[in-house]
Amino acid sequence: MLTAEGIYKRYGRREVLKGLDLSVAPGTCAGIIGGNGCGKTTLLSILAGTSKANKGRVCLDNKTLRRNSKAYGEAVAYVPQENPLIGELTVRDNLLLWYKGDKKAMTEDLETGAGALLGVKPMLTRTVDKLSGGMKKRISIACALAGHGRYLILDEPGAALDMECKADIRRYLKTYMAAGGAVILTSHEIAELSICTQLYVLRNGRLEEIINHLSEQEFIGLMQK
Amino acid sequence: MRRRNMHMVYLKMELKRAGKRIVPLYVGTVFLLLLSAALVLLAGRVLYGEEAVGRVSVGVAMPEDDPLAGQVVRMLSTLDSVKSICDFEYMDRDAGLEALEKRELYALLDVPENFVQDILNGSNTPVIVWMAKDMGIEGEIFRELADAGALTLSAGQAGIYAGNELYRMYGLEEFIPRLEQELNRQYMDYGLERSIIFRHRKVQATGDVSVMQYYEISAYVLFLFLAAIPVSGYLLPWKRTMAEKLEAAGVGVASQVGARIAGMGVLLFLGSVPVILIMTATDQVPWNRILVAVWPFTCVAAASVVVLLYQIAGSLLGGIMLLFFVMTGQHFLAGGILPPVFLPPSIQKLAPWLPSSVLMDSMKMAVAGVWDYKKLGACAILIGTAWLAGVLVERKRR
Repeated sequence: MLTAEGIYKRYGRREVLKGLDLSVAPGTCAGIIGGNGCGKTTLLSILAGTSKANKGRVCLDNKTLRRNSKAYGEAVAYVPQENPLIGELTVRDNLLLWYKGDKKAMTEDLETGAGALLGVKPMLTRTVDKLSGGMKKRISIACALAGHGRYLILDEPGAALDMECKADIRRYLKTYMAAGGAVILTSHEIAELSICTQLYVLRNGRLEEIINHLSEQEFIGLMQK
Repeated sequence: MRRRNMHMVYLKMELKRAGKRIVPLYVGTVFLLLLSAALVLLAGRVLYGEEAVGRVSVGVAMPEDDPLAGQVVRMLSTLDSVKSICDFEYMDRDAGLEALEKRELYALLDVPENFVQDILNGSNTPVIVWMAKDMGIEGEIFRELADAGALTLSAGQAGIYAGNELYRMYGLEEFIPRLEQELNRQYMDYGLERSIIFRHRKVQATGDVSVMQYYEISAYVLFLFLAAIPVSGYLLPWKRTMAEKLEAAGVGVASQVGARIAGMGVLLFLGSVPVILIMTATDQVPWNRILVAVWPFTCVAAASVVVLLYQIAGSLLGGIMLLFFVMTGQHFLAGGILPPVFLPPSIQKLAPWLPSSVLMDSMKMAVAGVWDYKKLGACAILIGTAWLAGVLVERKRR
């Protein structure tokens, strides 16, 4: 279980997050919605361990991130909105970086793991700069999952992607959840949020749970209303 | 194993990234070589013309009926140090002052009546030296030459008077004229004609290297800094998300900056191969083991400064502008265009601390063929300081 308790984050005098709580269990998906600049990306980066909260704590299975940063880093995979890829290098090189040079593990994943499900293998020799946005996003997810993280955090994964690509990523996320992985994502799109089992709105620096344990059909119906 | 190896994997990726920029670097190298060659030629022509400085025209006003004074002045004018830059013109005092007023002369030597006899009898009537105002570097050089000449003469005089006193003490007054004659001859021969003693020593503004070597080294150092422009894309700092992800994966800011410096250093090393080949082919820089050691060292030092500047700028255009203006500016202040001796004293004090100066000194070591660990140390300090500053800038930027 990944939990965040009493998270405060301030940029200068502006308080972005004001004592926020969240918990995500394996096999579930937490969706976070909210207006632009409300702090969604800040929250995700704190949950991913790439930035620090001014107050509060983030725990994984009741162990704090601060004391178990290495184990936390291996368990949590983060895909920021901007693809963290090296444009001049090939897909293979990018993957190798996040696989920490472990070619064997990378090849296995490309055959049977996340890489295979995301359809990364045919792109291996291509330069990242020459790929479409959708392909880059798939590679970003594959890179993030190089450590076989059990928690996948995605910041607007479908932004600027075509429908087919969004559907592919959604399909992959469902498979990931079915295998026991947990997903936390932010989005502005109904279709993307349809895989969520919990939905929160981030408002005034706090999370308000608006939906819990709905089926996909129920969710779409609710959003359409 | 993973976290430990991550640094090496990341370094390998940085080097691979750098390797992708070799073609634009070589295209830029050709352009920069042409540009720097044109700049050096132009600077040399504008600053020096055919010689290091222009000729210094000096008027000499002498009493008409003093053959001894004429002989002394003619002898002075034939001294190597004087004739290499001075042209003596003999004229009367009024014509000389008029020429000085019209700035046709740099100086006028007004030799008094009985000049030589007064030296011999100890009354020492001085030669009046009239200097034209604001006559630039040539005027300054003549002033230095005249001061040095006066000092030499006064030292000679002191020696003659000491000899006279000694002879008087021992009752040898009758030998004093012979002593004076002999000492005068010796001082004239050895004191004024210093080239007899220092014939092997060549004094020049560029220090221990020739003018050509100096400017080749200067062009090489400027090339190292400006060669970064065609590969600016490589030097852009990581976007925040990438930098944070790398940090979370165990590659901290210090390693990120260090790997970037290494990558840029390798690029500069490969890019400077043709430059070093030209320098060694023209026999200006000898191919020795010091050069083999110093060359990569200067490349890494230049890379550290370049990486720092792009981190400060944070953008492509900003980086290019900052690099161009800061590096050409500091190169000038470091004496890369005009040797430091021609720069104002305050700048001369600053010059040794500037990156161009540190790199040029290291390369001069290769020319001299003698290890100088102080110069190598300065280069290492430059790398360390730039790396540390880069880490601080990067931390602040995030």
